[in-house]
Amino acid sequence: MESKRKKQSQLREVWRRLKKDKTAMVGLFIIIVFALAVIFAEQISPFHNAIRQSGEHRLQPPSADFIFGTDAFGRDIFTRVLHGGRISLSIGFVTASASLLIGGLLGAMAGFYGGWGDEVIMRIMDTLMSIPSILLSLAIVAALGANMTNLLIAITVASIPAFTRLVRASVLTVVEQDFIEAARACGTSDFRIICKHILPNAIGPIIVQTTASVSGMILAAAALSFIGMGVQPPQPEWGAMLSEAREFIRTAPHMLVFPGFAIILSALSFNLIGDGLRDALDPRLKD
Amino acid sequence: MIKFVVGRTLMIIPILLGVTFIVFTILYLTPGDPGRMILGPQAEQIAVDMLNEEMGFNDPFFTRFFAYVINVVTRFDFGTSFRTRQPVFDEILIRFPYTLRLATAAVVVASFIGIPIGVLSAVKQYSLADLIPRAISMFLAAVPLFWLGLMLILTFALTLGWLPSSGVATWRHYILPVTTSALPTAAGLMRMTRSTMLETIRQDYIRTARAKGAPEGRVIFKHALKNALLPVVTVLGGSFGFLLGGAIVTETVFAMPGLGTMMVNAIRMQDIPMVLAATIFIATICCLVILMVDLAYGFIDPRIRAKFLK
Amino acid sequence: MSEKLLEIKDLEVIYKTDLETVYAVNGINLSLNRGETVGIVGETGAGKTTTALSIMRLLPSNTGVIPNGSITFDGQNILTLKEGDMRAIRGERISMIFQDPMTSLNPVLSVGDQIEEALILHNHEKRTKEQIKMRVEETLELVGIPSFRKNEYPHQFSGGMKQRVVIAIALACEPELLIADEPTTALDVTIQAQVLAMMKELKDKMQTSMIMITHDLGIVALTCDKVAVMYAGEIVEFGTVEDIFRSEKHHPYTIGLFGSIPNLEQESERLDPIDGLMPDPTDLPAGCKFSPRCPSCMEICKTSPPNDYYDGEHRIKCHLFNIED
Repeated sequence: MESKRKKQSQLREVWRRLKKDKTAMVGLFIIIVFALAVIFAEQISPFHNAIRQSGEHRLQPPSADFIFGTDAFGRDIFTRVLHGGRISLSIGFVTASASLLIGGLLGAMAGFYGGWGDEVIMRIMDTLMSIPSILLSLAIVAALGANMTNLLIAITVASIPAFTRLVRASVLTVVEQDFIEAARACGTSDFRIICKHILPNAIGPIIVQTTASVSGMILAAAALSFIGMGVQPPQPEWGAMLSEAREFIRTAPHMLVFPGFAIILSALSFNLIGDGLRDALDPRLKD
Repeated sequence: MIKFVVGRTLMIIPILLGVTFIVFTILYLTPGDPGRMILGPQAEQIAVDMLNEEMGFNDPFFTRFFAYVINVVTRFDFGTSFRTRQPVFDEILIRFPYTLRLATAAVVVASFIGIPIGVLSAVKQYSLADLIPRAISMFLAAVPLFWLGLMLILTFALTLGWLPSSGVATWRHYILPVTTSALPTAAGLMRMTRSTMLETIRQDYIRTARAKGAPEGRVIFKHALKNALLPVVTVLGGSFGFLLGGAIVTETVFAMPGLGTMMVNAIRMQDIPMVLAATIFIATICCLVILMVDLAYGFIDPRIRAKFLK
Repeated sequence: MSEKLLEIKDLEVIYKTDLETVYAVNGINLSLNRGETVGIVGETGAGKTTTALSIMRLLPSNTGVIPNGSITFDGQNILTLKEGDMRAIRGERISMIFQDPMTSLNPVLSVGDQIEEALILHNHEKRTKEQIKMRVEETLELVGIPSFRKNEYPHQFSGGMKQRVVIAIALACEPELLIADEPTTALDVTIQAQVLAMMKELKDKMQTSMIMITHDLGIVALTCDKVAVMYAGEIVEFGTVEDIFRSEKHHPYTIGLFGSIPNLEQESERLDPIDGLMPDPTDLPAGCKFSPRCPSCMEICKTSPPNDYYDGEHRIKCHLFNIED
C-alpha cells in the first residue's frame, strides 16, 4: 500500500513536470486528436468513401467537397488518410508493444540471470543489430510475402534487439544495487524481485524508448509500404498512398502533401512526447 | 597494436557467420519450389524435380547452409540468380558502386553539416543558433526519407528545373539523392554532437583549460572537440549502415540502378539467391565499416590505444 | 610594488536560474599580501569554491552573477577587466589547482602537452620550442615526476601523480597567486602529506601567494599564515593562524568546527558536531546566518545581521562581541 502510494505520487510528479513542457504537450495534443480521428473514422467518413472509385472526380485538388482532394481513381484523399491512419498508427502501436514485450522479456532474463543464457541472447541480438534494420525487415517480407501481418512481424523482429539491449542494461544497473541483494537475502522469490523491485526502477528509460520508437515504427512501415513491400493496395496506408502519388507528382502534388504530413505529424509527436518524458523522468538529463 | 587490430578483426567472423545464418534461415522459410521458379510454370514436373536435386535444393537445411558458406568463402560464389541464371555476385559488383557512392557521399555530407552545427548549437546553447537547428533536426527526424526525396524532386527538378530527378548519368544526378539521404543523418549527428559537446564542456578539464588562460576558441577546438567527437565517431559507422539500408528507399525514389533497386526487383521476382546475397553483402560491408571505425577509434583515443599496447 | 596583492571587497555572488536564485557569496572582505598564504575553511556549500572561481572569473557564464563588490589584484579591479585582459592574467599571474585531479586533466592530451599549453599561451619571454620543452620537463621534475613521462596520458598516472601534474600546470608560469581548491581532498592520506609538503616547498621557493581552500583544519595549521572561516557565503571569522588556534575569542561556528574534529590531547567522550544543517542558500535567515544552529543565539541574532568585531587584525562577525563593547 505504502509503495503503491509512493509510486502514484512519483507518477504525479512526472506528469507535473511533463505538463510544463510545451513541446511535449503539443505532441500529446496532436496524438490525441489523431487517435480520436482514427477511432471515430467510420463516423467522420465511412470506409467505403476510401475505396469508392469515381471516374469523373479523378486527381482533383482540394475543394469544399474533397478537402484533401482526390487521387488517381477519384477516391477521397481525406477519407483515405483518415482510414490509413488506422493502419499506420496501429502498426506503430502493435509493433512497439510487441517488440517491447518480446525484447523486454529477453533482456530482463539476460540481465537478471546472466551466465550463458545472457551470452547466447546477447550474441544473437548483436548479430541481428549488425544487419541494417530495414534490410532485415525486407528480407523477412521477402520470405513471408508482402502483406500487413508480415509487415508487422518484419518490423517487430527488426526492433527487438534494441529493446533487449535497453532492458538488459536497465535491469543490470538495478540488479547490482544493494537493495536487490537485501531482497535476495530476505529470501524473496525471483519473480517477486523482478516485478516489485527491478521493473519499477528500470521503467523510466523503457517508457521513453517505447514512446520514441513508435515514430520509428511508423516511418519504417511507411517506407516498406512505399517500396511495395508492406500494406498492399487498395488498402489506404500512408506509405502506400505516397507510392501511388509518386506517379502523379507533376499533375497532382496534393496527393503527396496530406499523407506525408500525416506521417510527419504523428512521428514528430511521438518524438516530442518521448523527449518530454525523458526530461520529466530524469530532470538531471535535461540540458 | 597488431594484436589489437588482428583481435578486433577476427571478432567479426562469428558475427558474419551469424548474419549469414540468420538471413539464410529467414529466406529458407520462403514458400515455393525453387526449381519451379527457375524453370517457370510451363516446365514439366520431372524437369523441375531433377533441377531441384541437381542444385541441392532437396538437401537438408544444414547441408545447404554449409555448402553455401563454403562456396561464399572459397569462391565468392553467392549462388545463381533464379531469373538470369548468372552468378548473383557479378550483378552485385555491377550495382554496388552506385550504392556505395550514394552512401559514402551522404555520410560525408551529413558529417560536414551535422557535426559543425551540433558544436555550434552546444556552444551557443539556448540562442537562436541552438534553437533553429534543433527545431529543424526534430522535424527531419520525423520526415520519411522517400517523402523528402519526392519533395526535393518536386521543388528542384520539376518546379525549378535545376537538377535531374532520376538516373545516375552525371554527378548532378547524385545531388538530390545524396541530399535526401544525408539530411536525416545530419540531423541525427547534430543532435548527438550537441549532447556530447554539452556534456564535455561541463567537464573539469575544460575548466582547467580556461584556468590556464586559453581563449574560448582554443578551449572548444583543442580541448572539447576531440573528447566530444569520440562517441560521435562510433555513431558514424552505424550511420553508414543506416544509409546503406536507406539507399534501398532512396534508390527507388530516384530510379538509381544500385543494390537497393536490385533487391526490390529481386523480391518482386522471388529471386531468393539474389535477395540472400545482397542482404549478406550489405551486412558484411556494414560490419567492415564498423570495424574500421572501431580501429580508428582505437588510434584516436589514448585510453583504448594504451590498453592494447600493453 | 604594493605589499597587498589581492583585496576582495564586499564581494557578492549569486547563481541565477529560471527557478531560483542561490546566494552563494554574501559580501565578503579578504586581503592577501605577497608571499602570504590565506586559508579559507568551511563546510561544503559555504561559498569557498565560488569565491575562488570569482577571482579567476570562471563562474559559470550562464548562471553566475556578481552584483556587487570588487576584487583588486595588484592594483587592478579584475572584475571590470576585458575578457582578453583577464585571460592574460589567468594561468600566468593567478592560477588554480582544482579539487579532483581525476577529472581535471584532459584525457586525450598528453600531460606534457597540457603543461606546455600554459607556457605557449603566456610566452612573454619568447621562448623557443626547445626552451618550452625544457621548461615542461623542468616543471615536471619540480613536482616530482620524471620528465620522460611527459608523453604519457592522464590515465597512466595515479591520483597523487595526476594532482602533481595539475600542480605543474598551475605553477608552469610561476604565478604570483595560486588558488588551491581542496587540492588533497581526493587523495589518500599518505599522498596528501606528500603533496602538501611539496606545495609548501614550491610556494616558498617561488615566493607565490596562496589561497588554500579546505575543510581540514590540520592543513590550515600546517600551511597557512591567515585563516578565513566561511559560513553560508560570509566570512564569520578572520585572523592569523594564532588568532584562530590560540585566541580566547571565537565565533560560535569556529568553536563548532573545532568541536567536530577529534582532539588527542583532550580526553572527551565523543565528538561534538554542530547541530543542524547549513541554511538553504536560496532562502537565507534574516539575521545572523548561523543563528538557527548557534548554541549561544540571542534575540537580536534572529533579526539583525551582526557587524564585524575587530581585535587587531582578528575579526569576528558575531553579536556576542559587539554587545560586550
